[in-house]
Amino acid sequence: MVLLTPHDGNVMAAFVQFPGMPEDRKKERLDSLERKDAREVAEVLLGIREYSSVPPAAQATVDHYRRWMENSGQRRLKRDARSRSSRA
Amino acid sequence: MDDEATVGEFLIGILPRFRRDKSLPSWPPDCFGLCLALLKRTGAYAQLLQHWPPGPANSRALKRWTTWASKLGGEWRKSWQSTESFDGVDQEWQVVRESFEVPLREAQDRHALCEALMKLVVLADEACEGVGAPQKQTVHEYDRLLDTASAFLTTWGTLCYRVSRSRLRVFPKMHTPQTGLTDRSLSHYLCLCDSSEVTPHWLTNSFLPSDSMNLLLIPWPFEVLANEFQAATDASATLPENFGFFAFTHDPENRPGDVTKCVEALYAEAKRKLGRIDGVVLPELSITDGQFAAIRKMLPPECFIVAGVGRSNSNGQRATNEVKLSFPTLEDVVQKKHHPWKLDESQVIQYGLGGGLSPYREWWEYIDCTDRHLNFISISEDLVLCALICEDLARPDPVANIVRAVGPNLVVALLMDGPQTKERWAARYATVLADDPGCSVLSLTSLGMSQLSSPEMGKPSRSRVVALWKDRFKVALEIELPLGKQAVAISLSTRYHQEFTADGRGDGGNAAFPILSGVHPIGAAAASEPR
Repeated sequence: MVLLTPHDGNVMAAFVQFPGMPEDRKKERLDSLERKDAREVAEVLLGIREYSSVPPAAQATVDHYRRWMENSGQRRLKRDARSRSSRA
Repeated sequence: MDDEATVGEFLIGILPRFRRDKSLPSWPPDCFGLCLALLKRTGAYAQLLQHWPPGPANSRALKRWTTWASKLGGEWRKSWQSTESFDGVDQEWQVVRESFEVPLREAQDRHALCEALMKLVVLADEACEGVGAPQKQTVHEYDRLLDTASAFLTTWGTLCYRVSRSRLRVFPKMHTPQTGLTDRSLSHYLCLCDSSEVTPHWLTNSFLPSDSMNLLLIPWPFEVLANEFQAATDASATLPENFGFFAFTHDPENRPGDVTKCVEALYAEAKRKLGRIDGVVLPELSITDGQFAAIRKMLPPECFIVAGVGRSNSNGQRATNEVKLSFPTLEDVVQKKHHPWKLDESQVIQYGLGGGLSPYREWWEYIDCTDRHLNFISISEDLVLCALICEDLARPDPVANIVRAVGPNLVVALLMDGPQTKERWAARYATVLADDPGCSVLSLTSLGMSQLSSPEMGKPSRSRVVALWKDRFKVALEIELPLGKQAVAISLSTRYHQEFTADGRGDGGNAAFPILSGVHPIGAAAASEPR
């Protein structure tokens, strides 16, 4: 797995959390990445680069973030449901 | 009488551009920091809350207030989506602007000023719901405020944009105190941290949480020898006669057993029993950097590690006592212990160290306490973890105020201590954090250190109580290692509970409390204790 700096980890988390991020913001944040291997991971997550074109360590990180994305989506649904029932 | 400080001078001290431009910074955390700092400085919130909420006093007053705050806070947030200007707080800020000449001492008697400040704090707080915590969105939505806040937090170590971190910091917040009345009682999502010698960090992690989390607690080393506590003779000359420095030596060669093999065997057994282990925790000064690296390499990358790591003093250099945090996809994070341990007569006797350290002197731990940092790891949208080392749990400053302000959901305290029984100091301080702000606290010591500690005269040994759990809802729970077992796997589940601010706003029942939902002793032949 690729190990990310705190900044790169934050950018990656933003790409995963905000799929609707505007293109200019995506580019700005992509350009701010500190490490080359982090950029590879980000480009696959953003659909700019093919999964098969990056090394196994980057693929493992992409897989991890995709699982995290799915998991995070499920948790948001639960959170929204709690807020609704609390307001009801 | 004297040259008394005014509201304006106070605010200019935080945001110097008010000298020439008194407009309100439009970024909600800036507004929050400025206004809460002033409310805190004057104590005006206590007076204001005596007659709350604002407006006509009737049975609908509170509902009217909370609905107004939620609606307007939401509009402020939406204005960041569209980059439109937001004028919903102009009226309140105008009141503050017109009060710049008011002496601070008189501020709490200016009801309109105090009410305006409170409204600005509350609206900024409502606008920032969920900052700092990952929240998955769909392709059709993009929360610019959350994205921007998260970038500021990682880059500058504060949510503020206009207010310099050298003056104050605003951080995300996970718990609102439900007892007492302080400035921390006024918000759900943002907290104010005074600028101090400690640099706080907020790390977003891509850990994969489910509804529960399984942690493997390994109380390594299983044996600690009295002769591992030694006087640091090269340094003691700098202290008065009745004081000395001691160092805890870390010599893996002299320690029976291989910690990496031990962790590997215990991890495999714990995984067999529970199906999944999400994190491994090792006590204060339990391993060296090299051992940490070997354990990291051996464990699967998705399993996080929180471990106490140390290096002995040498060539006049102080020893190090650190917690190393390794979370999936992030580089390792290192945080030094903030306070040295001081061994006094009773402790020298308690741990049987009198052969090497005179009980008639007080012995300071010879470690490097410079460069103070505190890391908050955001594991998921409702779970933030921070780790403390031993004394750092007990000493009120410099980190305790930041911990209380943020209210991390889980505090892991790594100790080199005696048995973790309910009567001892760790349980007392864990209870304080569980009570206010509501953290769940796990403390862990080594079996070796616990066994080195003599029981009080006439009392049975409790040396296999190596860990303690405390949360807001239950009394402290001792975690005991049965004979023949070398580790404990615990399961944590998340309980959600509604918290309220002092002004009466609920958080939608989303305050998260890890609670202990399983304790499983773990044994493995390869990890057996020395005889």
